[in-house]
Order: sequence, then structure tokens, then C-alpha cells
Amino acid sequence: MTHLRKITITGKSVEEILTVFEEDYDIEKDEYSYQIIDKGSAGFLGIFARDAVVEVRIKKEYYERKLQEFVENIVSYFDPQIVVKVKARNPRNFVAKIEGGGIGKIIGKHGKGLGALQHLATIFLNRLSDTKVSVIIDAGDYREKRKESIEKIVKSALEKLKENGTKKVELDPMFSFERRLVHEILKKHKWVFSYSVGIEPYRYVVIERRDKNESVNPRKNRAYNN
Amino acid sequence: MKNLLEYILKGIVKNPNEVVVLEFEEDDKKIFEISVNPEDVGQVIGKDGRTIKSIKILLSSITDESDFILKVVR
Repeated sequence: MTHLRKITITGKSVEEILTVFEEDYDIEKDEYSYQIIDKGSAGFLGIFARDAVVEVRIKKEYYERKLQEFVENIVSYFDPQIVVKVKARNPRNFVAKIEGGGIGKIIGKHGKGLGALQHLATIFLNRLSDTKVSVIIDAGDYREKRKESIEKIVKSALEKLKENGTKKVELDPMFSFERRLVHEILKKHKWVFSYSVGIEPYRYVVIERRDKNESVNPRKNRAYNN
Repeated sequence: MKNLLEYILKGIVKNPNEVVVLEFEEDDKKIFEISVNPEDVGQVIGKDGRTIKSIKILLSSITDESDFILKVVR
């Protein structure tokens, strides 16, 4: 499937339908394909006149451009020098990469701003498409760095649990993909278990030490609830 | 700030033409009063207020001030 929205439009003529459609959607010729269902007919002196029917399919290129415009417009308020590059990995997953001097301000504390922008961009794009699409905003190499720092956070939490008698450690709020990463890392450490509590965007991970008499097996039944 | 707020709102609602933002001060606090089509109110606020919070985060990081209120009116 290469299109993200299919619409059937009725109008006086094929030409008129397409002109109105292009204007309404602010869409370029190469961003959609169409199929004529009925050419329509002017009839004879208006009698037997028939409307034309066209089926239009909007391609992912349109969504790439629209997402780029949306993100560009927002980040330009931070710093007009920021460059936005949008790429659709496939028709369901869009990645907008932002680069430039002022991105630190957008990222914000713990990536809060990045998460906010991503949330809004996702709503924006889904409003334009029939199928659910996901949007990821990546700022510079922020996500890569964040991954490294999450690994460090988990490591120090494990040390805390090991050294003194602490039974559980609560981490700072994180995004869902970050929490998933934490749970993923902890899988390798059988002597602890983890779960998430709280409401977005303040949901955070709790790591608890497993009781000695508690067997390792119940772990399988425990829902991650990421 | 008001322009950006309007831009974001128009991008996420079903009825962009009905987005109206009023900016005024009350007790030394800046207030943005947002009114949208009733069917878009939920969209603007979002689950657990996530969307309106996201908007607030973006706006406050631009201006370096978070001393303003976003109000969605019905």
C-alpha cells in the first residue's frame, strides 16, 4: 500500500474535481494518483447530465512535505537556522530530524520539548491520513546520547540495590520508548524486576529487588505494562 | 507566542477555521483563552491533558517563561 488516504469525489467534470481537490489539500500533481470512475456527461441540453466521479489516492510524499512544513514552522520560532529533514521509512513511520545550533532549547530538560513536539506532530499527521501513522522527532544525536545515559542510570540504580539494603529504586519520568529500554536492559538481571507507574508524561520505572524465596518463574506472567 | 499557539491549534483540529485565541492579562498573569469547535475540545486537551501540556511545554521553552495560562473554553 503506497497511499495513506483514499477519497472519492463527485463533481461536474474530472478536470474541475482535480483542480478543487488540489486547492483544498494544497497538494502537488506528483503527490497523488487518481482513477476515473465515471467521466460524467453534459447530457443533451442538460437532460441526462451525469456527474463525474474520481477516486483520489494521496501518496506518502504529500505527508512528508506536510510534516516538514509543520515542524519547520514550529522550530523557526526557536531558531530560523534549524534544518528539518523528513523521511518516511515506510508509509506508516515518519522520522523528522532537526539539526542546528538552537536545538538544545527545543529538546528541553529530559527531552520534554522533544516529546511535546513529537506528540503534536503525530496528531497533525494522523488528522491528514486514514491509517495510523507514527512520527519520531530526532534532534541531532540526542536519542543516541540519551540511550547511553539511560544505560548509566540503570547501572547506578542496580548498584544502589546491590550495595545497601534498598528494596526498590524509583527512576525519573521517562518516555515510553525509554522505559521500554530500561525494562529491556533489566531482563538480563534476574535478581530484580521492573514495572512502570504514574500517568503520562510523568510515568516512571520502578526497579525492585526480588525476594530470595520468590521464584524467578512468576516473572513470565508479570505483564510489562510498559 | 500567540501566532505559534494558533498555528499549532489549527494543525491539530478538524475545524481550523473555528480556532480563536484571545490574549489578555488578569492579576498580572498572561492568559490565552482558546476556543474551538466543540468536537475539537477533546483533541486540543488530549488524554490526561497531554496535548495541552505539550503545547504549554513548547511555548514556555521558546519564551523562557512559563508564567502564563492556557484556557480552553467551551
